[in-house]
Amino acid sequence: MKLDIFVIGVGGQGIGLLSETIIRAADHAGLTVKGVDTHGLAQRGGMVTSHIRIGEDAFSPLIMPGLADMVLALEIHEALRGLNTYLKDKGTLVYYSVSLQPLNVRLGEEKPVTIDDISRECKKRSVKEYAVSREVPDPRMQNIAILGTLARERLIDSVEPRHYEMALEDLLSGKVLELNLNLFRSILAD
Amino acid sequence: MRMATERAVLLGNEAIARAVVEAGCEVACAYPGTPSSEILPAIAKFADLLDTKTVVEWGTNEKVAYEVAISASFTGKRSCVAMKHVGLNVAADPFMSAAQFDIEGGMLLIVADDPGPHSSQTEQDSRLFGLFAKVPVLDPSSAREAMEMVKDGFELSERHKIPVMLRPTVRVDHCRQDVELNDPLRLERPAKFVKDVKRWVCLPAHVKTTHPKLNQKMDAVREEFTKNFSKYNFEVAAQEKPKLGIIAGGISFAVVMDLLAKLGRKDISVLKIGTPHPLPVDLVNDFIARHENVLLLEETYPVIELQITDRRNVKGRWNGYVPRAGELTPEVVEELVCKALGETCTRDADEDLKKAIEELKITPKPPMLCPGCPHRASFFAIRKAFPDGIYPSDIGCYTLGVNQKTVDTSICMGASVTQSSGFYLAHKVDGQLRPVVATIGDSTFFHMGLPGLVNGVYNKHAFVLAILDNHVTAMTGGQPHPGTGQKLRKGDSGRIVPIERAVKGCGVEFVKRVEAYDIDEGVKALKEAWEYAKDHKEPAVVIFGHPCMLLRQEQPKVPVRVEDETCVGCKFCINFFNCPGLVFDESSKKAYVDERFCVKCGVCVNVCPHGAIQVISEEGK
Repeated sequence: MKLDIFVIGVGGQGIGLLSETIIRAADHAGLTVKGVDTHGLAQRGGMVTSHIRIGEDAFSPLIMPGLADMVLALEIHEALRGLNTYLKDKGTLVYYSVSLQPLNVRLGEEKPVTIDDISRECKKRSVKEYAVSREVPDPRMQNIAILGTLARERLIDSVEPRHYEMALEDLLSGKVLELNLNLFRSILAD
Repeated sequence: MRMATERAVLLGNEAIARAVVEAGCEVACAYPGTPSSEILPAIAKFADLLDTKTVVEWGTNEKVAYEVAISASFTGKRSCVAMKHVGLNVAADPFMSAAQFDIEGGMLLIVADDPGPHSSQTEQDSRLFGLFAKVPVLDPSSAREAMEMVKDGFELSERHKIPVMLRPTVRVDHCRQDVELNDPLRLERPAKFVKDVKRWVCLPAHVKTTHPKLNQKMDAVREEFTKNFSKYNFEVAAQEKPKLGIIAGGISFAVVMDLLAKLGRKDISVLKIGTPHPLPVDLVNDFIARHENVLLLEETYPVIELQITDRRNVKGRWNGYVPRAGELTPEVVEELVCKALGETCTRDADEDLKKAIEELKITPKPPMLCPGCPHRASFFAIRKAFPDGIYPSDIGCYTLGVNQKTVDTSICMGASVTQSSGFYLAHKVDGQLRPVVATIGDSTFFHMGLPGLVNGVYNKHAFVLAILDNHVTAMTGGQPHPGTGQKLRKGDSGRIVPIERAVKGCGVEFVKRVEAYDIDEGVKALKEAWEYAKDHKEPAVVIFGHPCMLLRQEQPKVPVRVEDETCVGCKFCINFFNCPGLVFDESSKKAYVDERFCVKCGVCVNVCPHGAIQVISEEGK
């Protein structure tokens, strides 16, 4: 099995947790996996990306632009950017349909991106599109909405819901774990 | 975190840390800096887990950390120091000098480079520093290899009595993969410092023998690298007559191997070099002799290339065939390989893909200070107090004060203070005086702000230094510093070094602490400080205190809204306060509060020149 997943969002959205959970879940499922995050100025609201590569043959943790099998995005502008830089045609896009305006949009220098823009692009390139708009109790849990969708739709072969749960248990504890697991499970049941 | 006995998925930096503990290192120091920051806390974590006695400390800067660590090596202990590449500039003095010593215990210098750069002021190549100091360098291509190199590095260091550099790049530091875990070496070496002036004192007379000896060490290490390190230096031979030979070091090797698989090429051979200095030059020469067409891929400077005896047929960074700057990402490598083969690159990607992003123009979201960040308020006060000031700044979150037009310069750690002196003097020559207000963070102040402040007092330079005290080293992920008194391990407390006392100890007479959120108080203190500085011809210091938002300390909630009828749509708040919680609505031409981001710090109430930002009272008005 070979699956390259590109994750994109902005700082503070929990990209790191999302990608580490997927990496660990794949590991629990017995898959060979590696990945890399771009941290940089992540905590200050800048763009954050993460590469996840599942499969025996991946040497480097970096995905070639235009060759990702799947893009996960936590925001609309970033979804479009991920779609147009990393996703291959006929790939899969999963994104959380919230809009966080970049500065230039806020200053009126650029027009904001809409869900329609993304759908149009997806159709043109035969991309399978999952727009996640599920309400979450805390904006910082939008990443779990994405994770739940991945698990419910079985978008990564041989990674089962219990593997994601094991990964969450590796990384979180106490009340935070409980809240995230509850949300994850409720999305599975959607 | 799960901790298997044999294997675990670790971050590259954690893998390196694990190997450091497994190698029996007993003293480890560092100053945080992306992409190296996770190494030291992980050393502490694994040392505790494996019950080793390893001492782990944040130094106040990289030079300090280096000198603390290497002294442990003088006593026979294994020691290690970690930093980011620009940290080695700060530690260059001991690094250069101590390279000539016959150290006793193994010493590993871990320098994390940042090709790109992703979060640094340069993309300098530490391997070149290794060449400069005559220190052996190991360049890992993966986290797994980095772990092995840590252990070999300590042994190499002890065999040749010289510090060894491990040079991971950001992609190795921040990659996650499963790695093997082993038991730690328990060396049981009591500290034993044997006095020996010729060995431990760098008198010029001694250098006459130590420098030639260092050269001999390099020859011996080169021979080892050539003969005994085929696990790091090896050839992946082409299955057919090679059309191209690629020499690759570090992560570039992994990228090349992915590319060959993708292209399905059998006519390209690859020579991997994991020991770039001293270069096993015979291996490289032999490879070059067998290939007419050689492409050399290394990050970020031409360090292997410069050591090659005859590089006329080598396409590399030095001769400009490979771009002289920037990260060698998969797409860059693909283009270079295709160019070297004389073939057109065929990308699988749809042509639409390139066009689309241009059509729907979206630029990457620039980083901003967090909502509620005390620096934003401090910068606003600075600009309000001195609209015509010069604003030298420093390295940290607050460099993002550029968004508020209150950061005019930033060179390197501590330069805000010394640049203030320079700006003062340059104007003084012409008989002029301009307000100069420098900003520096609390951790950066302890790192390298102190010498500049002493210099300003001693030489009588008039400027205002604003120390932005958010009680943490925020940019690198929240490490403690002397002003906090906390040490790396939780519950291991050091002694607090109060910033006020440090400032006064430098000879500064005017020191005032203000609450950073209180813009009026800040403006008043800044004006007083400048009056004092002008009158007395000396630096005056204002400390803006308020905890970093990332520390998530409780604070009063002051909900605010923008009154539509008062907002004139001037965008002053967006331009000069620049908070993610204040957004401009193009259709109504008014600003509004974005509740998703607003943390209700209430500071912006004092920002709008028209008074349109108002506190929402309890009745909901």
